Amino acid sequence: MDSLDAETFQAFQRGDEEAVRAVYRRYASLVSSVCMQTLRHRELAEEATQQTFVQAWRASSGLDIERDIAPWLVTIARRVAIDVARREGRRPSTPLEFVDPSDDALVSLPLNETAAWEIAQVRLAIDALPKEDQEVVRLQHLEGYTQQEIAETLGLPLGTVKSRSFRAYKALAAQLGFLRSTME
Amino acid sequence: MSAQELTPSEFDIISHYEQFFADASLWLEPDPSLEDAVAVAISAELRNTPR
Repeated sequence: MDSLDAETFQAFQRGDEEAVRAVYRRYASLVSSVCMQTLRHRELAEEATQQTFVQAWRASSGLDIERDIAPWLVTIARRVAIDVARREGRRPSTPLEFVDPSDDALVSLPLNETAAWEIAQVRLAIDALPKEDQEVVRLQHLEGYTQQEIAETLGLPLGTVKSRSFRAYKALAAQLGFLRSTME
Repeated sequence: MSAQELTPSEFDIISHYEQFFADASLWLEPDPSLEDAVAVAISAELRNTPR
């Protein structure tokens, strides 16, 4: 997926509504994934997502528009999510049913900056896939479907599912291979 | 996964990231109304503190 063009980002800095919406559409899934990874709570993650974009706009005037803003947004998203988690007294990344509300360690913050960036990069790689390929990967991993089950669910020939799956994993491996080499 | 069609290196990379693909948070799409909420919040702040 391409980065924002300078003209759109400059309009975002001015608060132009269409540009704000363009920035949101480009990065909403990335930001929401980072927030959700931290908070494990959909409504709080959406609150943090909204706050992230507002804070990003406030801070955008000093930003170098030549750079990809994704790392900057991920940093803001993580910090906002941590603030929301602290406010809520929840342990991020831990299902709430396993957390004792009196646990003093509730303010511990396991999603560090590197982990947040890795999650963000995986989300960017997913977002870069055609929607139909994303769906195959999602059904296979999140729902645990076999390729035959995916074909039945989507009403597609098995061969189509296989080719989409192959195409998707080839593309993901190309994108994520670089990430893995830089994380190690 | 069509593992048999990927190279060993590609398969290794995909395997490394499988835990991410299986995490529901990775697939979260925020509610569509959130875009309006962000636009409204920034517009309101801009009205109060113009740049």
